[in-house]
Amino acid sequence: MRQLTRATLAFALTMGVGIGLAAANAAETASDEETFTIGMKNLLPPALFDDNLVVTVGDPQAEAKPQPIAFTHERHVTTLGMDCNYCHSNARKGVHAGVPATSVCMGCHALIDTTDRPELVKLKDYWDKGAVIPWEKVHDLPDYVYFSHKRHVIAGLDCQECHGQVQDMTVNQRVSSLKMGWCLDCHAQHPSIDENYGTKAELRRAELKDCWTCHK
Amino acid sequence: MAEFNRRDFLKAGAVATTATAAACSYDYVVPQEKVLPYVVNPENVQPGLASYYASLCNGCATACGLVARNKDGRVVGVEGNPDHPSGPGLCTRGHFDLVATYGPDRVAGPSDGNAALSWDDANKRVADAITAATAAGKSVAWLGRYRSGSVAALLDVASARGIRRVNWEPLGVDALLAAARMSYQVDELPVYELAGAKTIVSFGYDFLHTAFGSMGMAKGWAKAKDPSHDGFVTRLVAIEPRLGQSSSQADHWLSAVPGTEQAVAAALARLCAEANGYAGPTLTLVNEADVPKIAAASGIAETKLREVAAWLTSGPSVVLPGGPSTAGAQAAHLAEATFLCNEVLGNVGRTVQFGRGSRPGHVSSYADVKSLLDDATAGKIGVLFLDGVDIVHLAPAGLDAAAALAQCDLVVQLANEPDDSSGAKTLLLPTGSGLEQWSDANTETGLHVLGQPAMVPLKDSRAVGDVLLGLVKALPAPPAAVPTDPAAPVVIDVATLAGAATTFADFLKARWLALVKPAEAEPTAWWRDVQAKGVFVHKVAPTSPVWTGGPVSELPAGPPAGDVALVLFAGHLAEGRWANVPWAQELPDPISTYFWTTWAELSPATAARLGLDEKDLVKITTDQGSIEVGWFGSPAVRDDVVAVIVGNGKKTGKYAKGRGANPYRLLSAEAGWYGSLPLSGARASITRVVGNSGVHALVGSMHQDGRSVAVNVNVDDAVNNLVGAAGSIVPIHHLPTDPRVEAAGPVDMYPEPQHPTYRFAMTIDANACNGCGACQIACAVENNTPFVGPDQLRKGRTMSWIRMDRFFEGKGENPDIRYLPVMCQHCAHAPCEGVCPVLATYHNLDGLNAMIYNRCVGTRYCANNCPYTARRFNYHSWEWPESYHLMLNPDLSTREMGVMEKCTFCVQRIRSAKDLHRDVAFAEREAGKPVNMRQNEVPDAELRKLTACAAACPTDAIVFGNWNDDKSSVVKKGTTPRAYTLFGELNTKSAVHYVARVNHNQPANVGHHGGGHGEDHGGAKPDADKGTHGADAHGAAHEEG
Repeated sequence: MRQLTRATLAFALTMGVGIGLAAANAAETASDEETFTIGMKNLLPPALFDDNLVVTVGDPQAEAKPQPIAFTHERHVTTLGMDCNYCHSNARKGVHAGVPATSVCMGCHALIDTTDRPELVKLKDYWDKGAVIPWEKVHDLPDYVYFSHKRHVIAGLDCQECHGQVQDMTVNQRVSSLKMGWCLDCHAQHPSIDENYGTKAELRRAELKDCWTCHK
Repeated sequence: MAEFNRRDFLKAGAVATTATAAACSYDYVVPQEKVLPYVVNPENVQPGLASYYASLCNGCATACGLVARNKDGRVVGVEGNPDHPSGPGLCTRGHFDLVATYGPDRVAGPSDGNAALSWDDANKRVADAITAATAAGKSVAWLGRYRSGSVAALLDVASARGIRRVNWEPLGVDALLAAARMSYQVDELPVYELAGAKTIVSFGYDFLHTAFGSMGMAKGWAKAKDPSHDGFVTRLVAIEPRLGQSSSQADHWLSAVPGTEQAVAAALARLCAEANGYAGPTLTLVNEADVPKIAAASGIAETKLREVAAWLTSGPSVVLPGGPSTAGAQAAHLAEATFLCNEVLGNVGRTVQFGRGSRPGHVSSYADVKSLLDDATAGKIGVLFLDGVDIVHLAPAGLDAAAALAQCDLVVQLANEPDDSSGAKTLLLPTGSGLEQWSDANTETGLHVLGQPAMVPLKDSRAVGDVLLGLVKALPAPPAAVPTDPAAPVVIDVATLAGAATTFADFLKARWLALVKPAEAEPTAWWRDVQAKGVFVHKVAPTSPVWTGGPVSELPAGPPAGDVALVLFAGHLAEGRWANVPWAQELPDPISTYFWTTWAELSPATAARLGLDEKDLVKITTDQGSIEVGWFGSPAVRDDVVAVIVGNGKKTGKYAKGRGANPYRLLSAEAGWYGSLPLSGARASITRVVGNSGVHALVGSMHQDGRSVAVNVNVDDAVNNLVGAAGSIVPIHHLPTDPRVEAAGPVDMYPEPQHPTYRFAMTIDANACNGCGACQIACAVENNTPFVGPDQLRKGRTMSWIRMDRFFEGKGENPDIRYLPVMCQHCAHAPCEGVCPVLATYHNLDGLNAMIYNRCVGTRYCANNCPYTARRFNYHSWEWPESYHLMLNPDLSTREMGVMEKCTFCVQRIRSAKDLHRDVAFAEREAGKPVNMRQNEVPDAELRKLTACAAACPTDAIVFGNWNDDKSSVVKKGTTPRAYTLFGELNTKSAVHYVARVNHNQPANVGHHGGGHGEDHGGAKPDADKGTHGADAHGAAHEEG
């Protein structure tokens, strides 16, 4: 399955370059229309145009990214016993689980001593300045994918099934490939489908394999 | 090689042919992105979930209600507000206004042309200029578009404090209002209730498109056309020199000699009086009309006029006034003559209602504009406010508006982007979009529409009302009593309210609480309720005013010298307001299907007389000037008329600049009777100019050549259900087939697809469709469809997922112009699916013909195999200015070069609707109820208007739903006797069902012939105008295929 995808992608890429060159010629003939710039860069992998891009996919144990504040899930979840939904309250309501607003952090941290705690000083600085904390994205799906946290949470999936043992992580890190085959593995056989849909589970499984379930 | 399927073939092909692939052996690459959470989460905002705000459409003066969809902080879609009397549906202009909100030319903040200013500095400059002007004895003047509601109330106060105020629009209602004053001594426009009219006679009124209140009339017209509504189908008679979008729906076309329409209306009044034995007080006046003389002068046979009179007197009817094409010097008298017809027919108080106070606020005439500009030229105007009127573009040839503006000390332009009127003395104050600022409207007595902001302003703008409030406060209050709102049920002191308010939003709310709120209502709860609904209605009963008008039957003194009569008409760009909206420029004109320029419509006979080649231009010359434009051969234009579209010919704007020519420059500056601007009737000469005009028809066929694409049904058959059983309009084969093949019956190549839950389908009632284009622009906004510009359009590379087919099937007096919106038909046996080598397109369990963009490799086999030309190929990665990125719908991808795309039935909306209903099922199960998780289907009420096109359609012509649900609207409408599928003989089993049009000229019982070959479903088949010009001569328009 994986090899097939790769071959198809490679073919698509080659076709794309061919069309791209043809279109570049076409763009010349349309040059009297300067208002409508026509680009081919979007088709090609962005890495070819931007050295600052980071290859993130393919290695499930991708290197943990340095974050603006060294936040630790382990401390908040395991030590303090907080529920995932306390901060990621949107996970059961919307497509995005959401990173909490700074005000949510400050709900507790306004009362917590920052002496000799440089990471908490950083948080307080962001809050005092009213600045947005620029977290690095750890789980990033391609923009053409529709993924709803709500659907998966309500269906009864545990956060850990995709995100790993986050409660043990001091630095958050992606453990799943987030590739299409990985998604489909569950969409084909996850036990929650039978639990939720009973006699209609077979139909639901068929629906879950529809490309338009996720591709948008 | 037992099984070498096509995917293995591709694998092998990829390996064999792509040496470069080895170098690209990564899986995929994504940029490292950041997650930027809120600092403080705003109330009720959840990332990724839409919020909806009831608001007011600022696309024209009609002031329909809309609902704005805000996603992640910006409005990405608008729909009609079902709580508003104009109902669901939203026309093109509402969508253009959304696009204009994101226009790249919008200024960042106040500016004087050289430098950006702060609002404080700008306000100070305005106040200083007013002080200086007053000291120098010069006037302060306001020239703006129609305004009602709170802005108009502030203008009333400003006017009482000495501001000279002119509210004018070139396609406005000043002539109509003058006629109402003359005829009935009322200061309002009649409301035309078309739904009950068996016969409608229109003298060019653009009642389905640009006319004031067109949304309500379009709905009424669709009802009147529906045989199942009241058991009749209305008969539309158009009396005008050129059939426009509204009159293209006509069953009969009587083209009077330009300038004689008013006399024709008077003659009709007399004939109607004779036919129905009218003996009212206006009988003497009615009998002044000399019918034989008028018939001779107008070129319409008296027998024909008598026939129309017989139709008019046979049941409830409406006579509509004139529009741009009949807006000659006598426009006000034409309207008066139509009122007289309605008086004689007894329509006043029934289908023509006075007393509802219908008017778009204060209305000035063109004569007021002229006198204002004349005074400005004479140096009498110190400060001139320009509110949304690009007067330099709109002024006729003899009126040098640019010079007049240059003589003012300061021109304060209230606009979001510079236009042709921006000059050296202009101070540009951005007033924001209606989606960003508070606004309200009151276009009928008792009908109050609230426009609340639906997003944070993108630029440093303030509402028009805020600027006005500052102006009112800067002016000295007069000692006399301040004006009050004459239409108000309670008298309120607007000036005191204005004095107490610090912002326009405060003033607006205070005015609503004082003026609109019922006395018994609790203010806080009432205001919250009004904000949720967006509209508040007090019921007002119609009155029956008494006729006071004078003679209306004069004929013009005879045709003056000159070749042809000039007729101006408006298309999607209106008077020019949307010229800088690229999606508006790209939306093909309903009649010619031209785009992005100015053109002239000529009759094929005129074109033949001039010896025009399709690429030629025509030079149109009046005594005021001349323009050179491309041409379209329309069978719906008189031989002695040249019709020119307005809107283009601007000098400013990223998308407006340098496109086409400005036809206002052909007009004389002289005002017509009662001060209106004669848009039509000037004498012109036309000559051939050899060249390359670049005009191009997007729909490449004038006729359907006997194929059953847009089918017509006879009225009696439709009303009496004589069409036959459901499905009896089986489209006939247009190609001869072997009798043995026919004898075998339909044979399926493909297995029948399964649709266990949904079979999503659409029914399009061609009888209700008037080709307005709202579905097309709504689709583009919803689905991130790019504009491609004129060069690419000429290559047939349109990206619009809906094509509006247009056929001229009639001839002469029986025009029979048919529209048909065609999108992907979501066939069960789709020809496109079988030929895709990479399974990028396939049929899913919901009956959708799915299209997966990042699987597509761009072979275009699918488009070649689609019999409906419904697929669009991205020849380029279409780029647009950064500002439009904010408008993109985040629920679906943008597509790039090398990828095929097409209508998806708005799969993202389907996904969202299903998602919400699945939530309900899970919640019920959690609450302990026994829930079958498969019985959570989305109900018909929600599916009915789910797609963007269906939601936008003003006439409810498009209905969406589940074909598996027998009770759904889509099944009910799609299984009537008049329903058919496009190219049904191909056995594609498509999901889009069309309902045949009903026409009064259609021969009876055409639906019964079964399976003949080569027969024509249509009415009279025109030949004479074929091949002379028009789209036929332009050849194939679509490159795809």
